[in-house]
Amino acid sequence: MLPKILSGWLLAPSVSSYGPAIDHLYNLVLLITAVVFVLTEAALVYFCFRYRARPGQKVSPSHGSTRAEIIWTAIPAAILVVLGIMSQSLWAKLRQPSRFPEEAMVVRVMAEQWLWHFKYNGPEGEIEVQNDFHIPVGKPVRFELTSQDVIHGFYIPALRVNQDAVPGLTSSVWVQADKTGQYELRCTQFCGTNHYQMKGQLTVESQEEFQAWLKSAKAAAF
Amino acid sequence: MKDKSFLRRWVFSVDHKVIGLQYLFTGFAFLVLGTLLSLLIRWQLGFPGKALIFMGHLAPNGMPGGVMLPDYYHMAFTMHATIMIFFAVIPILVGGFGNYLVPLMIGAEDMAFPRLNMASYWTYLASGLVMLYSFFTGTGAAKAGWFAYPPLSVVEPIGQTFWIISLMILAVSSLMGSINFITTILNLRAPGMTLFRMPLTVWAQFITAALLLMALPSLTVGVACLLLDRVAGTSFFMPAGLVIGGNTLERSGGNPLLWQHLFWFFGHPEVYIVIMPAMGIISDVISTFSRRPIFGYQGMVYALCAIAGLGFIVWGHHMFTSGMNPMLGTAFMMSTVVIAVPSAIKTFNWLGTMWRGNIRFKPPMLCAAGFISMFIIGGLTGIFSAVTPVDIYIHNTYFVIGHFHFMMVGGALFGIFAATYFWVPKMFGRLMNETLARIHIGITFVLFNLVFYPMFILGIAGEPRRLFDPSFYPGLAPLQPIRAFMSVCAILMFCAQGLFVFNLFWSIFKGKKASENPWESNTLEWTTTSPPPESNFEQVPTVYRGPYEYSQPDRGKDWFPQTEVTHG
Repeated sequence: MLPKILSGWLLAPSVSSYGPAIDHLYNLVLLITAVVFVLTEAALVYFCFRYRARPGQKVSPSHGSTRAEIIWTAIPAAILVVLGIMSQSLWAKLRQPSRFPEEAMVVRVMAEQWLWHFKYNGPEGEIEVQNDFHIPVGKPVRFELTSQDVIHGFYIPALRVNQDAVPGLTSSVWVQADKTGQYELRCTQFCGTNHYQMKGQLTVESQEEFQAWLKSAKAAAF
Repeated sequence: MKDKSFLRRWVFSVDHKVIGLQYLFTGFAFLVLGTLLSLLIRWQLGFPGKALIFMGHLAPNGMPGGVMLPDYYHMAFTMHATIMIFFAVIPILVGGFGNYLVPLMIGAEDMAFPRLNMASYWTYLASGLVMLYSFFTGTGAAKAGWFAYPPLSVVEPIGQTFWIISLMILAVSSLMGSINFITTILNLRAPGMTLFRMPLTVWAQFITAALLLMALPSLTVGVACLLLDRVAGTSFFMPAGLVIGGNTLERSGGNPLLWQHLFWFFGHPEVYIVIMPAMGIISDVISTFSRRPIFGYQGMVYALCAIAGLGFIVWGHHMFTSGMNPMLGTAFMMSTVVIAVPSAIKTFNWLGTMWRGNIRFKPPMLCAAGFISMFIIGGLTGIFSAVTPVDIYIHNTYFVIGHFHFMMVGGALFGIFAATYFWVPKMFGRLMNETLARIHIGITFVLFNLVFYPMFILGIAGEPRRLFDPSFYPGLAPLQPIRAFMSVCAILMFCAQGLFVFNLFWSIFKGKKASENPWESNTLEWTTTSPPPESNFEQVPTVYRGPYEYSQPDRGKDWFPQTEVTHG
């Protein structure tokens, strides 16, 4: 458990096309805050030791320094505004519906207490599955989320996707998984008694496997 | 004045000092209750499914045989947050210390409206009793989270209605209180006490009162609509086509996000309402014990004003993943990163105050040093959540819980400890035991970090909040040892507070007698007796200078009271 104190700050690898961009921004914030953390805490500890009460210690009667205050207002402001601008461009790419990939496959997600419904458009009509859902690797997919009762949260950490499913509202997120495998879908919005059991399972697989799964899911539905 | 009956003097008093103490001790009682609820949460998270036999007797419906059911867990976290925010921390910092200190620190005899002040306390108590009563309804207290998002909060059982009614009553109390604070500070300052000679504790209370005045109506309106949605069948927050638990609801036209906007328009200023009074207190403590003028006094005041102003335009960062228009996400992200700047200024100015000082590490100063170190962590981790793309990953995870507990416990609670150790000698004329205080602060600091630091690690591992049993997810099950470790530390941390409680009550009755000014501080409350007489000062004080004139040259002593007359 001990090594986790520091290594716990490293993100588990992401498997979506834009995951590395998010992780890159995270690492940048981590780096900046780590430096500020070390410097300020070191100053605090040093001052506590260096200026502890001792007889005859000379104390500065100064009420401050406008120059110092301007410096330590301007530097954090500049860093934060740059961070803001950097995240804005990524945020728009991820969330602005007009910038979603046009060729994305649409999966409609209907949340209810306490399970997930996924609706696919197959060649022969609509297919619905629950909790266990699949998407093809390397293809953009758009999830259109809504809920039939209370608010739920659609969170797939490995894909860096997190979006509430709100009744009366359809929210879209897109994702392109770049690695096959199985990933957990966790509910992040408190939704009542069995909130903690509202687990989904995503399988990312090759286009062929996906088509086969779609077929078998259709067979099971009838 | 001496012939007042006990009831008139200590119970139905209009004296701001007595009302302050009433708020303080009522708030402390709620603080204990809120902490016990958090221990129930930690018990379930650390040792899921393990029985707490005595709870089986206390709460046979929620914890049959002592084993917690999910809804009891949900009630525990809902009421933990509600009680801590509304009934413990704000009443202690504003109602308690604010009430006691503001008139003393500005040289006034009492608050501007003493009877309104009394009404405010009793209304607060009434609302607290309604909240407590809700535990005893058949289905228990509210369990839809302190954020009470509809539609869930509309279809919850009766406890939620009591929750709403209690908060409506509390809004009345808060309104009376904030008007009283603002009027007092604007109108009752002693001669010479200009606004820019006020201690930062008073400035912080002033701005907090303004925030309460402007933010709370949004919550009041929200809960009024929520109440109508619950009992009158309206659809403020209920869209068409809801099917809940198999029942189709005959509602249409509402929008669940409207509640979120109303709630967080109040809810985010609320965060600053909690931390600002502590910021003011810490500023006074650091300057007093560093024997050094506060670094950049005016900058500190402007930073408080900036936080207050910006605090009203950042609420949307609670809703980055809610489904609101992504364009709004951009706007709220920019305002949120900007609000970090005044907080940074305050931190640097505190450090600047300690720089080239002569720091006396008395208990209040130890709390202040702890406060700064944890405020830094709380502030820096806030940047992760402000940056929208990163927030996508950590929104509604334990990362956020870690972040705000560093502000609420590391910040506000350490502010409360600092204020208690600092002003109890004034309030009761007795010093608190220093050795016990040092042990208490040290242990609390270490255990606090052991409880809350791992939350960042859990959040980065993608653990969502509010899960009754996170191990239900195979990906989160291996983290169980961390959760158990946090729970053990939380229980130990709670036990360590026994030192504080014992020290407080023992000192009030048996502590060493305190002089007028045991800390050699400059502000007005230290120029009157400990405890102060009913009218606070024998004669109205006159103020000649600002509150932070420590270690000024050519004086025999290193402090310079605001009221001291200089000759020549």
